[in-house]
Amino acid sequence: MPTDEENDSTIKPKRSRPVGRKKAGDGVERKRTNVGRRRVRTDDENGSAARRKRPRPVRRNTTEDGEVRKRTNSGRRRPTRRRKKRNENELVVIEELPSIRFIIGGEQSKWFIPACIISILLISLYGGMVSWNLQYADPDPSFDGTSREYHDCIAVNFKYGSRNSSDHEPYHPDNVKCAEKQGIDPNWSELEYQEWITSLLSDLAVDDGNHSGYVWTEAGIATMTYLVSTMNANMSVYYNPGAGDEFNATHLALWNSATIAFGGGNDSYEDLLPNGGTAMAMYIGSGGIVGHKPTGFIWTAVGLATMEYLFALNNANMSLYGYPSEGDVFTDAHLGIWNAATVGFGGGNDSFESLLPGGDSAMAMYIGAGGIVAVAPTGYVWTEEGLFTMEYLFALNNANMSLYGYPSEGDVFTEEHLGIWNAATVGFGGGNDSMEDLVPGGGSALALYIGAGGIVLWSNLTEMPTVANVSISPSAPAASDQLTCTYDYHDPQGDVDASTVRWYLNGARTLDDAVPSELSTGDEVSCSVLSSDGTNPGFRVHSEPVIIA
Amino acid sequence: MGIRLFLFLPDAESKDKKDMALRRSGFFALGAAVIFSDFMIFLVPGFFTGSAHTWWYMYFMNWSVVSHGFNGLVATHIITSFIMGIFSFMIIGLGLAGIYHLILTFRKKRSFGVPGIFAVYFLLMWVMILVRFITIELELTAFTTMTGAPTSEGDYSWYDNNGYLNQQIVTAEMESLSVVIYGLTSGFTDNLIYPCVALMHAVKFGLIRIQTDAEKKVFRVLALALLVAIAAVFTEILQELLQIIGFFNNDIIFAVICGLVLTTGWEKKLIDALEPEAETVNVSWKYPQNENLLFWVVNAIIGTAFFLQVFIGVFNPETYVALVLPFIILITAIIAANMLPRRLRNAN
Repeated sequence: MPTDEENDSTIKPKRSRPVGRKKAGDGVERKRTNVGRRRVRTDDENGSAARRKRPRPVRRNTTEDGEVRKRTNSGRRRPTRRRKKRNENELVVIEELPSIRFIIGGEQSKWFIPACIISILLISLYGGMVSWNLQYADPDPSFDGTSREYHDCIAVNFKYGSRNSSDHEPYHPDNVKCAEKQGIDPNWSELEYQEWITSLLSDLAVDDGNHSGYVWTEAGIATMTYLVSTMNANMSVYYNPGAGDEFNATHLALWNSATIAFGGGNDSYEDLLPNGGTAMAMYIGSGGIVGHKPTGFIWTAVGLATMEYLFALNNANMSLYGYPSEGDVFTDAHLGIWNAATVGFGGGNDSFESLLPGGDSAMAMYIGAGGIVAVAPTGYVWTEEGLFTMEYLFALNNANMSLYGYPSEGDVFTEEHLGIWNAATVGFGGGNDSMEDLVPGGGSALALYIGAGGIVLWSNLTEMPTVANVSISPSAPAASDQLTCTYDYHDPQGDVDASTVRWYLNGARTLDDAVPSELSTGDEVSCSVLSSDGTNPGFRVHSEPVIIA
Repeated sequence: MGIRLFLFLPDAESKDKKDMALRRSGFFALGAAVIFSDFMIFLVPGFFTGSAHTWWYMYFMNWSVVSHGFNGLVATHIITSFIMGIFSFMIIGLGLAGIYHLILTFRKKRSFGVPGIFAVYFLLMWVMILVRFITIELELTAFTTMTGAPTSEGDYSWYDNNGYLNQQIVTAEMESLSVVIYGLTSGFTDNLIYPCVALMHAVKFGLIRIQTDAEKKVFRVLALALLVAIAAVFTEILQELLQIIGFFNNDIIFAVICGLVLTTGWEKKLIDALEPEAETVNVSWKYPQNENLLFWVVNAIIGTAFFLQVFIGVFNPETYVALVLPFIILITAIIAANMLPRRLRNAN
């Protein structure tokens, strides 16, 4: 049988009362404790919790004169009041929260909580001491000094001795003193690093002449700068590369070594491309660490469509090329795959140039006029003056423009062109020009010959206008039709269209680039558009030729 | 609180408010202990042996020996020791207290109940911990120090904070076994136990109401599936271990053993304990402060995190503006949704 006190702390639905003191009707003051609710007498003189019994009225079975009462129908004992059955789904909200101490330790909180805290401290102390004694108490018996001196010397070593430290000063007196105690060379970091690199390269990195086919991206440089700075290092570990610099086998080995603790350590070049499969992807973001090294050639939309068509014939897909997009670098690897895949069609020996529009690929009949690749933009295009200058200079040497591949105005001035230019101008006191030197007013040693127009025109790649869908209207013209060269123009700044159109009749430029007027059946006509917003020139785009019906 | 519940379990039939508070807080504490038991618990045995793989702080504490010398090392070591001490106390205490509960259950002095489920869980975790620790120490596996993920095959060399060149060779066999053990342990904790605990709490505490017989049957089937999956994980681990030490093992024999174990009815105890009780569903405690504020704070914490994850996952914003703008739009929409009906009511 539960006591009154127990009954009071047992849940009864809808009987919860507000917290605080209450004066009951019988004059007994009730107060609530933190846990549960119980009645405490406060009016007892001696403070004891003796329970007061209220005298109950006694029901007598006899009348006042002692006669035994008889039960009649009307005096039938009243049925006992049925206790209302508690609804199981009734929500009960207890208004008093127990104390935190009680919740943590229960009834035994007085000794249980201290016991737990002491246990944690003892366990921490034991584990800490075991490790300390094993690793740090006497870390290096050959060191001439205490554990404190040894570890302080580590800090000195890394501050002044480490080649990654901004305070690198291997022959600082403190570092020399510590190195002496440790029995090492004060310049230990550099020596060990060189040894390590040599070892890594001999074991891991097969350097193929420093041409990995990958370059640092801007996002990669930014990511690395952030990551290495968190480790108190700097990018000198990677020889302070810039965006576009070769990401070589040494870099890859260093990267893998540095990322072991983060779950990396086994990445390939491909893993570090944008959205690559590196274990460090969460740190790298979508920009990647490396990009494909520019080959000077990029995929064209026509090239991609051609490849998909050819692959579909063999139930293959573009995964072989890594699903490139228009404008992506057409890599050496791509060229290798192309040649391997086209051997059966009579190909297999193409160069990048063979895959350009009008190239001499054995697969020309499949490729069409658009080409598989285009020359990658370098940011510089040939000027008309540049072409004239070159023709004039070459004529002096009995050379011709075939050396440059007979470019047209607005065509990309490539790295190869620059190389040829420098080689050809050594005899004139040149030979060391950059592309910037060849723009109007540039610093070329041959400025005298170049003239005001410059050899090349710089085009801001991010601001240059573009044209697309260049075509001739009507698409099946008759000799009497008026031809129009149509195209879609786009300029990032929304500048007006200042593009120029050039016409070709049977493969030759027309006089003054005018629309060919005298046409005959069977003539082949095409046009090209050099996009321009009046400030920045873009790149020339050619139409498909039409045949006069 | 979890250890206290195992050791001083209140009478399951008691309706005393104090007992109910002890039970309820103990359940929540055990659930929280399960969720917070990340890979640090696998380092506990190494903490007592001084194993190098346990002492992971390296560059990643505020004070390092490289930057701050001896004092930095001592500060870092004390902090790490204390953190590991807490984890060790937790996992050891819960393991031993869980065994105590199971012993009393076995001796019919207690019912199995929710604490029984957690007791079994912590025993299973200890099996995992020991398997992982022993295989690391025997150089049969290799895990990265910072994430606990398997190390790929390769020859690794790096400088540690003491300036020493370290080298580790991870063989294909090591990687293979590491992947298996990591897959099983993370599969067990992340994919089996967490959903199981979440489900159990949701049902136990009335977030998911199970009332009809059909609902009860579905729940029991689901719980049974989870338990079978847990059993499958452990038989797989056992097989791997037997293979490592060269003992004979066979799938059919394991299937027979599992069948025999199932016929003992232990899974019924677990499933019974998972079912909701009137007490956990219907009895709650009043929040002593502003309930409205509590409601919004909790929803803001959970809702913001949820929205952020969904937004980043779907749209992958790359600028702060792109990240913040949707939140502004969302808040504006919420305010508009609250204001518009009122305005419309006023207009009418």
